[in-house]
Amino acid sequence: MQAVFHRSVAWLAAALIGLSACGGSAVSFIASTAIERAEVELLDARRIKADKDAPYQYTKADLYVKMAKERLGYADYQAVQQYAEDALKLATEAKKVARESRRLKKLREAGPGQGSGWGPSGGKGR
Amino acid sequence: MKYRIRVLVLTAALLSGCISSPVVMDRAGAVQTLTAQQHEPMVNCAPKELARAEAYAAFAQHESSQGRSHVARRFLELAEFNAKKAFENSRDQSCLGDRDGDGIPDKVDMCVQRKEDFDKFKDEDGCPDPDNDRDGILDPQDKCPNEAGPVKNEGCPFMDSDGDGLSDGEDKCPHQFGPAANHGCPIRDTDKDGVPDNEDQCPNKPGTRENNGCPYKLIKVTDKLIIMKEKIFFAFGKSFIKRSSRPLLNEVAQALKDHPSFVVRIEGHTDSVGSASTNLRLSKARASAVKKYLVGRGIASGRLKAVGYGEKRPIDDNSTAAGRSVNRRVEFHIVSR
Repeated sequence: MQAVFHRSVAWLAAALIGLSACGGSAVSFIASTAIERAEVELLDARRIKADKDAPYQYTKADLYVKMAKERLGYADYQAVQQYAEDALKLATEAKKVARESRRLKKLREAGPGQGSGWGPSGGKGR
Repeated sequence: MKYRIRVLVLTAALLSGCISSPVVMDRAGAVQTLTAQQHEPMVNCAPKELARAEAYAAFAQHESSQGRSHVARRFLELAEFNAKKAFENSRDQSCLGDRDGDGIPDKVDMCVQRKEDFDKFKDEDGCPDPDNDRDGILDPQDKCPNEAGPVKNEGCPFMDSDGDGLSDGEDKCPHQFGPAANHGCPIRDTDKDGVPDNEDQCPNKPGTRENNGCPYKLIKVTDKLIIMKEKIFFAFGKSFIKRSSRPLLNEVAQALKDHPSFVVRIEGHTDSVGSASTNLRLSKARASAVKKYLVGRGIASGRLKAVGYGEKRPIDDNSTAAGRSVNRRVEFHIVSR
């Protein structure tokens, strides 16, 4: 009877350890995926030169990705998730700002019709 | 003794954590307040430092809240360092995001170094428009700044009352539509034949457009007859109209078109050579051939009646060749006008 009890306890313990390991892996996987998504978006932002045209948003996104990775090392998954989400939003914002900045730059180069060609550098006369 | 020392060290460590946590929070908050207040100039002149200051301040707060005070302090120092740098780099007036100071932010200003003139003409683009209508006269000197006009009219356009494209000042007939070639005056049609005088080769005689405003060349329309100046030629002994007579018949057709109320009797006549019955049949056939041709030129069949009289109605001497030639003929009698 005592042997049966010990065996049950052992099985229960094994099951609990297994479940907790599974749960941990799942959380870790979700956090890693969030970082990957943010990194892809950041790479895309860099591809369209957001690091130059939207330096504020790009730099901040980059720092958040790095911080997310750092916290992943400490298994601080909640923080990882939050930092990665913030990084993703910032990278998306960087892309948007960069595109808008480029559009405006082109418009300035083309000139606003009358009085055209007056860019940031002082431009040319009519 | 050892136990007491351990307790003291632990208590000191805990106390240092408890004390530093609110300090870190406060100082990180101060960084965030500063960056929020100076956000616009910092974004314009020190975007990377601003990004670092904000991010590190947030990290410091998070780390502090998790009890990792030494990491929090490291982030706090970085945040303060970058905030200070961002502040120093963004004190210039130009960092306010409106370099020309026209009230239109640089990010939407098409001319960041030239002030918008706010003259209710394209004021949203941030660029001044010194000559709105681009007529070469600057707006302050232009009486009509938004309408192009010559210098001699002080920048205002000349009126064009008749809308013929010539300004009243240049138009000899400012209230009558007319082409520029005629100095803005309408082109007359003296004979009222529908062909303007400048295209009418006979401006005083009514004519047709096909004949350049001149009357018919090969025919003449009288009260009762359409008189032909030449004859209609047929194949010998047959009713086939020769090709050479087509221009003549075309002109007859045109006359009938010009006078749509005319009803015409087409009479066929022959000379006296041959039997009377043959001549009668031939004259009828020839009159019918002429009618058929005119119908083919667009004249309603009901307006034309073909009659053959054979040799019954000579108008010249059948004993001579010349007389017989005159007698072989087709006539157009106007039955009703």
